[in-house]
Amino acid sequence: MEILRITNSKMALILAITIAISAFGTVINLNIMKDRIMVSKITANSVGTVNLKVMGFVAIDILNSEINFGSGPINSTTDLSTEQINPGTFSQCIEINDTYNHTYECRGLQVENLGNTYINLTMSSDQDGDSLFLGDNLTDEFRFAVAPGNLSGVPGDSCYTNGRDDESLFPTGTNYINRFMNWTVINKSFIYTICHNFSFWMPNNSLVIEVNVTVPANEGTFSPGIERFAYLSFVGADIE
Amino acid sequence: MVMTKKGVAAKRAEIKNKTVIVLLIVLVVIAVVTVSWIIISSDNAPHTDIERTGAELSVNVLPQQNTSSSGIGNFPP
Repeated sequence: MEILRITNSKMALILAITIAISAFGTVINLNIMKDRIMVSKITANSVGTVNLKVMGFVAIDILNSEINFGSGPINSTTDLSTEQINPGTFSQCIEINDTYNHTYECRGLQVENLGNTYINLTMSSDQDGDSLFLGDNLTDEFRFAVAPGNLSGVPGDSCYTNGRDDESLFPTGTNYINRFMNWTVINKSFIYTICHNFSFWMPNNSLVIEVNVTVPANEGTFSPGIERFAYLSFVGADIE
Repeated sequence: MVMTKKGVAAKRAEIKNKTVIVLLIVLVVIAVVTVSWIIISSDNAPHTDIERTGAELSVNVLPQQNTSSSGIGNFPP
C-alpha cells in the first residue's frame, strides 16, 4: 500500500487553515447564539426556562440648567446665593415668604436620576472663585452645597451609603428645615463626588445643588458690565 | 513476517502522520476553547454606563454709579 506522504510545509499550511476555519466558525456561532433567546426544555416535564437579563441604564437630568443671578452694581463685597433674597437689583431667588419668585432662574440645580440603576454622581466646574471674578482674589468665593430633595425644599432620602467605599453624600449636613448650608469651596481642578450611591426610586431620586458666590467689592472696576460665566458639569456612572 | 526497508520507512511515515493529526486536533481544540473564552469573558465583563450633563451660572456686575454731588449753585428740581 502506498503511504501518503505530506511535507512539513503542507502540514503546517493545513494546520493553519484548519485553526482559522475553526476559530471563525466559533465566533460566528457564538454571535448567533448571543442574539437568540435561549429556551431550555426538560424532558417529560414541559417546563421552559427563559433567561432574561435586564441591563441597567444611566440617565440623569437637570431640571433647571441655568442659574442667572442677574446684574447690578456693588460697592462692597456682595454675597449671592441660590437660596436667599439677593441684594440690590440682583435676582431675588426666594421671596420674603420663603417661596421661589422665579420659575427657572436663580434657583439651585435639581439633578434627577431618571435611569434604572444606582449611580455615582460627580460634579466639576470650569471656574473657581479666582477665575470667575477678576477683582480681589482674597475676598471672592464660589461655593456649593448639596441637599437631598427637590427645589421646593422638600427633603428626600436619595443618597445612600455605597458599600464599596462607605461614602454617601458630599458635603453632608445641608438642611432646608434648619436652613443650614454646608458651603464648600469649588476648586476648578477637582472633581467632586457629590453622591456615591444616588437612588433612582421616585420620588427619592433628586438632589439639589445650591450655589453661592461672593463678588469682590472692586469687581465692577475690573469687569464692568461683562457677564461672568461658570459651567458646572455632572457625570453619572453606573455603580453596579 | 519480515518487512522490507521500504515497508519500515512507510510505517514510520504513517506513525508520524498520525502524531501530527493528533497534534492538529489538540491545537484546534485549544484554539476553539481560547476563542470561546475570550468572547464569553468579553460579554460578561463589567461595563460602566456613563451620562454627562451640565449647567451654566452667570452674573453681571455693573460699575458702581456715583450718585453723590457737591458744589455751590442751583440744582434742578
